[in-house]
Amino acid sequence: MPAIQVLTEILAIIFSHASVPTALSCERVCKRWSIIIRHTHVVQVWEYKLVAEFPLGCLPVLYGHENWRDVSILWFAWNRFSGRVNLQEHLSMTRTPVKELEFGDLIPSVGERIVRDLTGGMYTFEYDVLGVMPHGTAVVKPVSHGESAVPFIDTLFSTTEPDDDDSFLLYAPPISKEVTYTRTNYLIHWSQTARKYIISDLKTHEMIGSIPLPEGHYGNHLCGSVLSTFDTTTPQDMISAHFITPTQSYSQSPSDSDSIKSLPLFQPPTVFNHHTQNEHLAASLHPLNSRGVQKVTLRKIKTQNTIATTTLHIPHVEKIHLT
Amino acid sequence: MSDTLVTLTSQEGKPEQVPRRIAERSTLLKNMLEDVGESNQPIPLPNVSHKILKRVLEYCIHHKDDPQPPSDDDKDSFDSSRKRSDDIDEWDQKFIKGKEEEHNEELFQIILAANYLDIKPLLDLGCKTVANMIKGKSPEQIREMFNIENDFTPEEEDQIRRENEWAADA
Repeated sequence: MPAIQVLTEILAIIFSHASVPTALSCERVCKRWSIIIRHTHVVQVWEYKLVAEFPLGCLPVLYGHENWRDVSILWFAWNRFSGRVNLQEHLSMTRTPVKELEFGDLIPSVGERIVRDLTGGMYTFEYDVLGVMPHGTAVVKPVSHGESAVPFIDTLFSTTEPDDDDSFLLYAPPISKEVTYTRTNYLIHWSQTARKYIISDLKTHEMIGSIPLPEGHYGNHLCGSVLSTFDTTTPQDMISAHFITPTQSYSQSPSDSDSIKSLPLFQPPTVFNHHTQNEHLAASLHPLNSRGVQKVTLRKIKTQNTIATTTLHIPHVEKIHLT
Repeated sequence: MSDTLVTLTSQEGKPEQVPRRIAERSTLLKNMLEDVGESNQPIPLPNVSHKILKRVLEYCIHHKDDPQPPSDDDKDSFDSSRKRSDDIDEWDQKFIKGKEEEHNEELFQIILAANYLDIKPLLDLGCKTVANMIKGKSPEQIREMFNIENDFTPEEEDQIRRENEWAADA
């Protein structure tokens, strides 16, 4: 085929029609295409992909600095790994974009509440996970040029007493950005190069531990939790990291250390909501039970009447230790 | 008024007469016709060859009774199906396929003409078709298909590959 000078605007439309994996392939074709997809036309290429392809599905963890590309890819991966794309068919729901929610609306659910308004690009979260997580609300707006909006994790923790039990939650590694979480005595830093969370002393910056993601399963681990006491000189022995994949969670306490509290502290953001043309529906993913089964409930938002229920089976538990 | 004939002149200066309502499938022509009012003057289309103009008009004639697509400014009229590449109807598939030996070049000429004439459904059809053509292809295959030079350094290529692999290899 002869080289045809295709206008940038037209390329952006083509990329907006492409699937997420195809768009990722296109990023690697040449610099011009990469710049269009990742920078100059990032909203045009990814926004509609997110709205049109994933009207139903749980939200991935967001940090607040994501642009539309980041959110689309996270969403794609989240649904793909969790198999929840099929849930849409299972519930016999139509593909209608969520666009009628007003900013600030809350959808009650078990564990947490999330509202998204895709039209305005605003997300509101209200967490109350199993009574362990602090209450918090964060507003996250996907941005176009990489600058940070409201940092999700900071906002989340700003609403509670810091370090009250020296436990913390560790979120999914960012796609391509360096992120540092600051706690009272230490820093937790995601190193994109090393593919590890690096834990270092806040004052001396001396590395005191690291938490790698499991070999070969990096992509699956979109979120995770780490619970530690951090009150000894050997944090490596005291830290246990439990990464929850969309298809995996843990339901048992680790047996190797009594000092490690292990609770299913963090269930992935699991409320996915959906609007039909005539009525507002919400689908809620309930916490995993001890038999590895999660129940999904589809309700009318206004009346809270249950319309349908189904279950997801979580295959097994995975536990990761510091190296 | 909609039954009056409008003369369009292609790149080569060849005239093509069409009913006004057919020409008005193009937002560009619709606006021009509204601006000039009643006029028998031919409308020059220097960016569109006669061959492609005839193909575009063929599309417009087939879709003459379709509702006008919503404008981009109308947020409330967002239609998610517009961005889906798997919803091309049978006639459109045959139309855009054209002659096998000329397919790719003609396809892009139609896309460019649709963009110039501002015929959104045809532009979307062309872009969806290209999106389908590259679906599942590797970057190297896409480069070959479009005769694109790889201007990444090996280091850049490796970096961008690593950045995407977590999602691609899942």
